[in-house]
Amino acid sequence: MSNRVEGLEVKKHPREKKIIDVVLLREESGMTAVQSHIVGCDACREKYERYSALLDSSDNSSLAPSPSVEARIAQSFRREMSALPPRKGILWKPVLAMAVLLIIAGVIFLFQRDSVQPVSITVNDFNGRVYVDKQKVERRLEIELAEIRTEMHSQVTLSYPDTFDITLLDNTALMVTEGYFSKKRDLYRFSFDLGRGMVYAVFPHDHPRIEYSFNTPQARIYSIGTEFLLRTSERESVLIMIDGELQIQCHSGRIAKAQSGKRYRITESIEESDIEDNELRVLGVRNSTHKNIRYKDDISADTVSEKRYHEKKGMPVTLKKDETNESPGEKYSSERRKQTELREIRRDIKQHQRTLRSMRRDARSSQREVRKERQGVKRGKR
Amino acid sequence: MISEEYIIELYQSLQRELYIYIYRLIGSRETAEDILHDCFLNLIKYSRKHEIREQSVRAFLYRTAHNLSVNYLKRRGKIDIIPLENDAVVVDDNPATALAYKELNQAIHSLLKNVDEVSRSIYIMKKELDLSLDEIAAHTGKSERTVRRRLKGVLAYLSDSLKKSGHLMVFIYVNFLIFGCLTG
Repeated sequence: MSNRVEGLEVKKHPREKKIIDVVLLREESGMTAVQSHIVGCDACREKYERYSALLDSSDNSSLAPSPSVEARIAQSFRREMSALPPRKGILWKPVLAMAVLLIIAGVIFLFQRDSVQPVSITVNDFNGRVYVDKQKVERRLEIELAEIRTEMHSQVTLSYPDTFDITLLDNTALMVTEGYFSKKRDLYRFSFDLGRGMVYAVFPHDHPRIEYSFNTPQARIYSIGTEFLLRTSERESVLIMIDGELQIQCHSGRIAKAQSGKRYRITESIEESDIEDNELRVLGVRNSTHKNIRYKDDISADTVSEKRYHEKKGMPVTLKKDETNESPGEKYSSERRKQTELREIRRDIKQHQRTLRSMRRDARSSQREVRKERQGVKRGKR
Repeated sequence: MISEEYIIELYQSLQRELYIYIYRLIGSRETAEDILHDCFLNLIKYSRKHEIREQSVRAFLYRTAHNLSVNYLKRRGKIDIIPLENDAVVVDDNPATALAYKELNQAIHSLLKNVDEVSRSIYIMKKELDLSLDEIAAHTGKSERTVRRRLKGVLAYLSDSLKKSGHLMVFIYVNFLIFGCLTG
């Protein structure tokens, strides 16, 4: 069978898919060759009718939603509008944030209260006029946070068993601002404000359970454990490191590590210098229990300049060299010298031992060679 | 959020086609009304958080209608066969044609339960609403090619099934006879 419409000719029956395409696109495209074939072919027209019948719409004329649906939608719209909470987020967020902050602050406060135990510091070894919170010290007493002040020719020692001894010298004002044991960190923490004057402090070396710091008008000085002298005035603080290590943090922001045998002048900057031979004696620690410190009362000046200094202060001083009492600086350097010498001696001994061993080895090998030669000679004779 | 006036205007313009679509998918007038209402309610809720574009509203409503209808059918577990009395046909006054047509439609709807939901939706959009392929593609979120392929599949399936049961042939014969008489 063949058909001819507008020059298009399809001799064979088109496949069913093509007929479905024609059904689907019947109003979307013009007359195609397949369509022209369908017009002239009964079999294909029957197929076309069959597929078209499947796409003929039902009678939907009676189908329409009832008017109540529109009313229900309008009602739902109004309900949704009224359900919108005005500025919900803006009101709730700060309230919630405040509540959370308060809870956190409360928990931290309670936790800190529970975990920290105040410790009592003993005020003893006092002489002259010493005041704790403006009350004159008459006897040994225990303090927690207090201000301790000494007047001219007076001094006092603050101590906590197995932890520290701090001696306040003449005209010194020291405030204990922190003194507690933290259960959580298993740590003793002390903090002192040195307003004026001079303190001589001894703390255990590298004790992991003790933290302390001294605040002066110029800097904050803190450490793991050491022995030092600290003098402060409005203009400067002077730190004399006898032993151990300290960290100095100036209020200007500078940080330095103080090492033993050095003297540090702290203003806005930090100047480091060696401890002068008689500096400790010139500073005049009195009645300290530390063996390295010599006191003003039994001073014997080693140098002319030292003698002049004490004369200015109105103290009777004899220019006499004291051989037995070394200053801590001298002691430190002599000990280091001794240790260095000892190391050198040990090194020499080891070197000698090595030489001796190699000589013995050489001797043994030469003996072996001699023996071999002798044996060779004997065999030759035989 | 969209205004009440806009929602009502939208409802008035789309209510009928959406209703027919839903009804032809699920076969119950009351449920179709409920689903139609839920479609617009979803649109209202959606507009609270998102901006509504006028071009995509119709597609949104069709997709919502499809999803809600499919969910309903899944809950019910079957498709209702649309009763004859609910599907009055007025193709012409000839009672034989009308009867054949009713029977054909009933057979189609009973066979549609074996077709997947998307193909069923596409077929109903084409058959009942006579939407073009690109419109169907926009409403279903499929490509036009997919729509055509699915439609072909449904038509082939229905044609084969109805040919076996004889419904289609009866209808075509009756239609052909009457059509021939009228034109002849």
